[in-house]
Amino acid sequence: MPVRARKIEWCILVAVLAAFWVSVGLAQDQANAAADDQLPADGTLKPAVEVAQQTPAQGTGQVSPQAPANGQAPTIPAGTAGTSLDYLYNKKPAEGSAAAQMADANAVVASRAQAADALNFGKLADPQARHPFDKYLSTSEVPVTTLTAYNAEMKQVSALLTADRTFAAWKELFTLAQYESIDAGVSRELANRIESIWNIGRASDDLGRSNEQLKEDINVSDRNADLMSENIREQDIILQRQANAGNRQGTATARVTPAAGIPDTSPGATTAGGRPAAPTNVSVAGLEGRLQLTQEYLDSLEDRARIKLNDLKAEKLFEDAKRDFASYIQTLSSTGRYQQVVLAADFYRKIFNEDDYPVEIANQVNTSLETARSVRNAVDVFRYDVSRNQIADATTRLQEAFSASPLDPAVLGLERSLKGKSADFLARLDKMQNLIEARDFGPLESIIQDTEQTAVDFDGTKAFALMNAVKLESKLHLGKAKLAAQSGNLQMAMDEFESAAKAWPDNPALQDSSTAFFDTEDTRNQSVTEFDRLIGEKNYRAIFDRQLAFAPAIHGDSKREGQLADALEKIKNAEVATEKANVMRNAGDVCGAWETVEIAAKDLPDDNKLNDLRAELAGKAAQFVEAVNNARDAETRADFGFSLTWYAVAQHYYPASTIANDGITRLSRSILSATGG
Amino acid sequence: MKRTGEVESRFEHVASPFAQAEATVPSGHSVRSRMGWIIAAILVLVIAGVAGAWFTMRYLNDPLRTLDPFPVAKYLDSYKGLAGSRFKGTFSVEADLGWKDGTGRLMLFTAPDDDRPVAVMIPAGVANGTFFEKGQTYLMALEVKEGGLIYASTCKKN
Repeated sequence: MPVRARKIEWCILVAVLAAFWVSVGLAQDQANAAADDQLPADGTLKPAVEVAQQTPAQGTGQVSPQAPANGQAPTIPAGTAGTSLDYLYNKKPAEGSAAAQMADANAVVASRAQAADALNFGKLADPQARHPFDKYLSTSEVPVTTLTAYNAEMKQVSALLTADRTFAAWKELFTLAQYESIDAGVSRELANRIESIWNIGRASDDLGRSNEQLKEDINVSDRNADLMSENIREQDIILQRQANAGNRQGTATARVTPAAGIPDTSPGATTAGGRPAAPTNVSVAGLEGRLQLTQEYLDSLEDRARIKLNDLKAEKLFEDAKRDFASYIQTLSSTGRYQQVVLAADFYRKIFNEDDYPVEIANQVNTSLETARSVRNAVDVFRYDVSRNQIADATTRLQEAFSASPLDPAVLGLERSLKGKSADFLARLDKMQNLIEARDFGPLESIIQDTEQTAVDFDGTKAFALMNAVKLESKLHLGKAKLAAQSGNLQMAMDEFESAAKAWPDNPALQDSSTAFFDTEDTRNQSVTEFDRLIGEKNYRAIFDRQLAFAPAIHGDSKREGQLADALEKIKNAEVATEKANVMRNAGDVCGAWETVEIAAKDLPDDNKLNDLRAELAGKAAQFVEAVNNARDAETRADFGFSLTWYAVAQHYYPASTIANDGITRLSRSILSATGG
Repeated sequence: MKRTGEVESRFEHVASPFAQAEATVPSGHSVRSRMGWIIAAILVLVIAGVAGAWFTMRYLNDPLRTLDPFPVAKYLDSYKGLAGSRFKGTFSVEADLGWKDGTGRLMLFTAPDDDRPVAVMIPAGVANGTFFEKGQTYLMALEVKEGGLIYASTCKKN
């Protein structure tokens, strides 16, 4: 990428960040200003709700649509933190949202913790503690001969240290390190640490030797300075005598320097009479001698300073070595290497030639000894518990011993066959935990019973209680779902079904109920869809024929219930009209029969039954029907006079005709009013 | 059959007793009879002449004599063929559909040759003072106007 383009990108990035911070600053200013506006005159803070209630009335005098009335809970304004809190705490998180995922994750963790508690997992519920323990249970034991030999070596090292044979003890550490399965090379590392401390001692010895050399140099410088001072003094006396002889009148008296030739250049130097000293009249050779004397003096001072520095350096090396070794002992203690802690503490005492440990090391040694003892006891208890088939307690004891000191010889030497019983027990617990988490209670009961037989101290009461509680919860949800479904509250029914399924997915009643519910709902949905289609087609006859299927399907839907009632009313009227028409036809009044069906067909134009009857009657009352149709056609064309005549003709054929009489009345008024205008 | 033949042959031998007698009335009686016949013929001729003259005068005085009778069947088939034309008709009152001042009276009439009624608007000026009753017959001049409504331009009780 070109450099220029990179610069442009950086500029844009900086501009965007600047704009963001400016907008954040403005928003904060606005928020602060709003907060200031909400502050009352007395300076006390009012609750946000009270402020929200007062603001509309005080500001513009208008009442906001969201303003609470009659002390009802106020509507939380959109875009505030209240909305978010309202969403988080009062509404169910949407599926797939971060809140829903978090809720699901919490539910999983809670379920796992619940199962672990029911099975008395204790510390074994912690995966970090469990994983190495499982690994330990599946590994073979360290042979007894190896453990015995290692312990013998340890005792030998301790004995050598007690006998002040530190170096021999140090060499034995390499022998200990050869027991890889027990020692894991820790003794070799301890030996390396001790060697490094000795190397520091050698460095300290070098510094001592250097100091000795420096002291010799100081002595040489002192002797040289004394000789030079004597020589200068003699030269000064000779020069003085020469000057007295050559210039007896000389008033100046050579001043004898107090340092035997070392010039006094200090400003406060004075003569015996208190007057300032006059410059010494010396030759060039004399001055040279004085400079050499000064150099010797300065060399002596420098050597003394070096000696002091070397002393400090040696002391620091010593302290650092002690601190580092103490830190290493601390590390051994924290990693459970309690045998090595005791051994290293003994080395500490010998290497640094101290009678007692520091307090910290003493505490670690005590802790190590105590822990080693408790580990041995725990292993003994484990063996005893296993012998009595008390596997649950045995496993707990072994886990405690392992977590305290995983490399303790007692732990390492435990037989694999004994550890296998704990491993089997833990595998059963894991399976039971998974079954509880998965709410698969079918095989759980038998596994609990089997485990109680193999591990007599295993208590499955809490697991059974949890299982029964979950089953009851599922049944209760299922009952609520059924009630909700019966009352037509589908949303609540679905929620309750979901809750019942979450509580106990394999609930057999859930399977049956949900299948029945969904079948019913499917039929209902199909019925509703069919009903809507028939309403759209105005096929009220089909709705009438299937009213028994539609009525329960649309129960609670006021709109569709109204449509069903309307459809049934229309069909009922049509049926009445049909019956009436049949009676009239049988009495020979075919025109009246046709007219009855015709009027009824106005509401049901597509009803086949009515249309068939109407067609049949139309053939028998052809003249009347023709007159009515002609009248209607003419009326449609706005030929009102012609239409009136045809209605009169229809009335002529069937004087009782409602259609004809209504048409005559309607058109007469229309014609008279129109022509009159 | 045989018996009937026997009766017919028995009457063939019966004769009236006055078949051979002569008349005793004089011949002057036949002259008067002849005169009477002449006078009667004259009277008949006079009466016929008067009647003819009356009918002739009446025919000549009828303003609708040139109009065609209103074709009810044709009208009911399609009024548009008759629109704008004037007809005469002797219609019987069938029903009164209404009256409006300034507009007229809407009536139903039936033609003598078609029992199907037709609606006729009798304008106020034409129907002025006329009292229509069912069964009355009126001679009207008719015109079919827009919308197929029949208007009576004259209406005279028949």
